[in-house]
Amino acid sequence: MGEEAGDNALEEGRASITHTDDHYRRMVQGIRDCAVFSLDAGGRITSWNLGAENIHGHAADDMLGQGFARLFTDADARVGNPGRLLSAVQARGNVAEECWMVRSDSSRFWADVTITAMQEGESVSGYAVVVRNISHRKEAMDNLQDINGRLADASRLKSDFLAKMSHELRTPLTAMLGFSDVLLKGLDGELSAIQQEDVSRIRRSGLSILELINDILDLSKIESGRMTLKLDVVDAVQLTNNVVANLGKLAEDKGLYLVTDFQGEQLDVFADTMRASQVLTNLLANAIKFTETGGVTIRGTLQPLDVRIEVIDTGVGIAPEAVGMIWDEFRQGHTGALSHSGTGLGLAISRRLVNMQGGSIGVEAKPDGGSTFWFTLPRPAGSPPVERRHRVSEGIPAGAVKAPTESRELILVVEDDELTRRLISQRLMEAGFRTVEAAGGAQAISAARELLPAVITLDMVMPSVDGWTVLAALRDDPRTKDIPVVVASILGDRDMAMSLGAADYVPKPFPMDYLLEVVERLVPGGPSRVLVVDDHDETRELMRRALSEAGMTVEVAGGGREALKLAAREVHDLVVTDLMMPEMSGFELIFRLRAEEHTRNVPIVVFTGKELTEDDRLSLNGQIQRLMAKDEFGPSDLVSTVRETLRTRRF
Amino acid sequence: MGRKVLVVEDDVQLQVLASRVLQTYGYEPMVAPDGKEAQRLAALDPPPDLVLMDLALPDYDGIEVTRRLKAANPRLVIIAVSAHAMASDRDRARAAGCDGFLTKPYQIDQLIEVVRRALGEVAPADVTPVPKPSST
Repeated sequence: MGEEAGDNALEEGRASITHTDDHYRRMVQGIRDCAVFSLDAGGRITSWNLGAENIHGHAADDMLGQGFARLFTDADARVGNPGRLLSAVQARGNVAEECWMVRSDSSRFWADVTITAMQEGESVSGYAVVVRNISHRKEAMDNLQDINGRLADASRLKSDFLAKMSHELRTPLTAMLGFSDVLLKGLDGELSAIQQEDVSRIRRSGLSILELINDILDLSKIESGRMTLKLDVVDAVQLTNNVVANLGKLAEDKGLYLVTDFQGEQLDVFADTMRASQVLTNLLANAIKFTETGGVTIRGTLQPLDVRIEVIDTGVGIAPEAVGMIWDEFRQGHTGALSHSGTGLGLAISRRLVNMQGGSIGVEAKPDGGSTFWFTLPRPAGSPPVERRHRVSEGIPAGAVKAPTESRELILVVEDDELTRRLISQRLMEAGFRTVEAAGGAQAISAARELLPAVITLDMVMPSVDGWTVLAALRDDPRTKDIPVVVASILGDRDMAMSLGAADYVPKPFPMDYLLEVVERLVPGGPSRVLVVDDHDETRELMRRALSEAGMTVEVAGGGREALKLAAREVHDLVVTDLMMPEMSGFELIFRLRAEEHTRNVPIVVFTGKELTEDDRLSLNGQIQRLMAKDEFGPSDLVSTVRETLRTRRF
Repeated sequence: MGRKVLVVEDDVQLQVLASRVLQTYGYEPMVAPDGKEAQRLAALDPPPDLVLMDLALPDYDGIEVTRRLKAANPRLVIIAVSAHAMASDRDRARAAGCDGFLTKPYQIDQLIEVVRRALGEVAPADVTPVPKPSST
């Protein structure tokens, strides 16, 4: 009786399995637009659905028992690629690949193939294969690449044409200007006043043509991505004074005042001297041109991350409705500007040049009250914060350390040796932190209570109030007890420091980078996680090393697919990617990252060797945070750009 | 007798301009419209004291002509003249051994200053035309 019941149950179980099995078989069999078939362990076809018949053009009867390799091109089959694919599946369990496959009529199609190993115990008993015909996608991609290539060619042709034109125009201009010069200098005899005026007009017109040619050439260089910048630390005060000296006469001739106002500040920027001068010259020349009474003031101010330069005039002003379009090519927004000459390209070029140097540009204008054109240029990495660092002594004046919105967390550096203290502070600031220094224990305790830094680095051996006392005092105060303290000491008392509540211990002397790493780890939110995508091994390694040394946690991917996998698995604070990569372009990667919910907002820095066409720029516009050309920027520029981008994202 | 300046330039107007200006300032100009003629004139005895070399010539690249002239006579002073306002032209000229660089369009004062500096003459602060001696 019991035995019979067991048999029945088994029978029912079998029937149910057979039923389910049959159910699935029918389901798979009926899929029409996707080839689904199975292979035995030897790679011979054991099932063949409707989709497979459709896609490959072979009836099931013809294919059952046939080798899997028959579905591939002769070229692939000859070099053993089908077998290699199955070996890969054996090793990894599952492989997805794109390759050519052939139909019964020998025509080929681009296939997306996914193969999964079917396990029986330890060994592989067969494979499940899913094939989709993605020829249309491949075709579209190829088309796009082709169009992209042709657009790049066209853009290059245009630039070449402009360069050649500029050259051809300069030669006759040289003669025109040269002979006017000969006449004006009296080399051919003295000119009468009226003759002199006429020749001057010819000369001035020649000069405007020259200006126009130069501007057009600049614009075309910028558009084709051929404008290279030589970025360096530049003294903005000096630069401004040079420009003012050049244009001073222009203002003087019109009876305008021209003054500078730097409030005695040292204004260093990280910029291209020539191009920054060009921008300022443009703005200043404009201001002088459109001002009839009064004059122009150039004001420079230090901001947390950049230097702002304003050109303030008392001129005709700009109509509010014109403010938006003055940056376009060949527009002049000044009211009553009809009588004024100028190429109309100056502001368009200035805007692009400022943007290329990592700054911004704008205008504040009243139609009747003059206008203020301003632009910013980034300060060099590692500049001291705007609020002077101060030694903490008798308490801290309220608000002494304002939080510049774009700066990172405040770190309190406690160290009695001035040189070491400076070094630590400097290194931390280079990493974007704000720092406050304390030279002794008592100052350290009051500074910590007042300013509540994110992390404290603490030297143990100090005169009068030593590190131990500081550590204990910090732990006793509810306001400061949770602030992580990094203890730095030559004494080997790691255990004691940790038991007193230190968050970490760094034996002295320590490499600055190591200290930075520890601080980065302790700062709320931890070190930044950066994903680096580049198909070039050495470049990728160079970037990885540079970013890791800057205290970031770096993951690398050799291509777009790998990058997407990593991005799906883990949250990154920032992605650095190349554009030209074989299997998936950076454009597509960026597109896909932006399409996914969890990577939609990740900051992206493009670091590329590709010469960008205007179309490239348009398609990247709004999708990425920063664009850097490999031939212009090195790894250290990358680090500072990444930091800056992260910084502006955090707050 | 002024110092001899060889003007290598294919544009007729500019040949006249440079010659006229050089003459006015007391130099003795010679003109070569292409690279071949430039090589011939540079090989004369005595050689020119200075060459103004346009970089875009009808037959040879001015850089190439410069290289040949320098190979034949390393002491020859050569100033490159270019209408390409590109830094790369300047670098190429320097690499080929040019002793100076002038961008077109140039002003007369610039031309004279570059020539004087290359010849080691002291450029006076106020560059006024030196009247042509009537005897020459």
